Amino acid sequence: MAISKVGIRAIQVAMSLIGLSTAAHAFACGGDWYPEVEVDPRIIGVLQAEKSLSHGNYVAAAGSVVRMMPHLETLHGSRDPLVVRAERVLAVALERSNGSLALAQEVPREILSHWQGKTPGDRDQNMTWSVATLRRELAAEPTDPGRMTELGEALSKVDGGAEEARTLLESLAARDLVASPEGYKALAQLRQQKGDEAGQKLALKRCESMATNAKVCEADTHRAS
Amino acid sequence: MSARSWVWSCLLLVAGLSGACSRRTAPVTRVQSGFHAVVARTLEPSTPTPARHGDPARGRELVQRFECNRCHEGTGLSAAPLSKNCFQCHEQIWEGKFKVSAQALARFRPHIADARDAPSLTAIGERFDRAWVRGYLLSPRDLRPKLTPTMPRLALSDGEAEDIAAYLTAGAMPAVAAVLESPSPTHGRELMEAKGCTSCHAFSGVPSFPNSAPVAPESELGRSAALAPDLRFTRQRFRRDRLVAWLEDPKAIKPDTRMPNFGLSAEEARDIAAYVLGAELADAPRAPFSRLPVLTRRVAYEEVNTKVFSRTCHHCHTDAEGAGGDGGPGNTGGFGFAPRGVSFSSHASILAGYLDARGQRRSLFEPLPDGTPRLIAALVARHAETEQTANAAVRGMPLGLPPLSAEDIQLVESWVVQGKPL
Repeated sequence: MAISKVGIRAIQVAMSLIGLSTAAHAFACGGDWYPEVEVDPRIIGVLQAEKSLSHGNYVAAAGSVVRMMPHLETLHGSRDPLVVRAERVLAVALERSNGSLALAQEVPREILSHWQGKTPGDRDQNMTWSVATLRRELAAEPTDPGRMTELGEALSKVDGGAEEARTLLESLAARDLVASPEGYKALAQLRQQKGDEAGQKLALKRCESMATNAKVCEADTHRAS
Repeated sequence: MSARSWVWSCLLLVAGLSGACSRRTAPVTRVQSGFHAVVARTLEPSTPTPARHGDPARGRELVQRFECNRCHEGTGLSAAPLSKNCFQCHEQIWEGKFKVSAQALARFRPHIADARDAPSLTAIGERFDRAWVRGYLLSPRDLRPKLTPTMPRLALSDGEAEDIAAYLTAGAMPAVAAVLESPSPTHGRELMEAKGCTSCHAFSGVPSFPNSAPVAPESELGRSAALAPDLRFTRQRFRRDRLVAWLEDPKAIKPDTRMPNFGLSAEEARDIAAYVLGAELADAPRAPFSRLPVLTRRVAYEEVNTKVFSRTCHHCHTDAEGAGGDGGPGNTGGFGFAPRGVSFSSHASILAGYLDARGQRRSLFEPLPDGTPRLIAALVARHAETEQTANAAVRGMPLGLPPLSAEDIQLVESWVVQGKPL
């Protein structure tokens, strides 16, 4: 069966149009066609980082965030929920690690940068970033006890933050709303600073009964006055 | 009050009264002529209808506010969207069409196998006593032994329940004195067994029906049978003046009913009605709930979350952000409940408590006056609700669902007492 030139042209035009219409959704690769599906690995990555954090693996949680979003610091103020969640993980992990992330073996130095907290200056910078981040988180939901607890924890570790930390954590403790063992640990140390021994013991007991590992409740040296 | 407004008030009053009278009197003749009704000494007196009649217009607004259309058809409202439609969602899960992973589908399926249907509210007024409807709304009870109970105890006042009952029963023909002439309840009982009524319906409290073949639960008939109520409740629930007509031709009264037409004669229907309404009932077995002592072994969050929170609580109290903005009625609000901000999606979110009426956060573990933590009190209260001894101060949880077992409550309580360990 002979096909006229006009017919061949029509088929060519139709094929071109089909190609153009699908080009936005597919790639040609080695002669094969496959749909263009972009999977954002950060979605599962942030979720896993949150899980690590809740299991007390602060450094692992921070490490995965820094690896996934090395430019996170430059996104400060982003309203992307994924970025906000990642920032929260890093901020909490940083303050629970007292501003120093032992990730030198896992994350390239250029990426790790000051997050490693090698110098006192870096550690202070990290803690300041952590407090600022957690404060912004709380501003978005001012009555959320989880966010209040985390900011209270961080504030209890920076100079000049103790009073505010005490106000936050005591108000939560009075309503049985301290949301983590680390929050009770911070409260115990704040009470100790005030000479409230009975209160300190009570908060430590709450920390120990809630924590999976009693080490979480052991006193650390990085405390604000 | 001016003379003009006085005249207007009188005119409105007269118009209202005459309207009310005409609504009341006209259908009676229809009922009396269409119903072969007359005396039966065996019948108990009907439940008296209360003096207040409710406002159907307000009732419709309340049906909308309490989102009855999330579960029921026949509300007079359009069906809720899939994201809020309990049974459409369950049906999609059952059929494997719900857009989640195959593993999630496999996990969900067993939980919703018996929760794929809710009764349609079509023609409620033609079937049910309005006072009963009102009472049921205030204190729902499990009527269908083969169906997972899901009717929530809503935050309804007496007046609101009355208004909803008025809306759902609006336009129904008024009740007339229902009496059956020379009924034979014994024949009625025999017929029930012969016609297969008791293959679908339970009738607790009467002697069993040994020749009744149960339907296979997984069959289509079995699914219909799950909607068949326990006939024990018919005497309070069903309009006595409509029962015979219902038995004769159910679809004539409720077109979407799954109850088949057995081609009963008027006499047969009358005899069955006499048995259903008048058979002597043994007391319902009662097993009052009692809490088990707290466990001495350590109970961690992982265990209590796997066995209870993620299985039961998480459905209505989830993470709003992760669930696309709707954290379920127990978090972001629904079924007439204000947003309470309760999320069982993580240890920290559980410890973050709930929002009280003033918008202040309070602990889920705050002790009530008797010292019981609020969460435990709610779990125990659900047992009281199923025993019809609801505590007005504490709403039972899980809302509308079967109560947690004593062992599950023991597990949660042990976790709370141990300091909510991670």
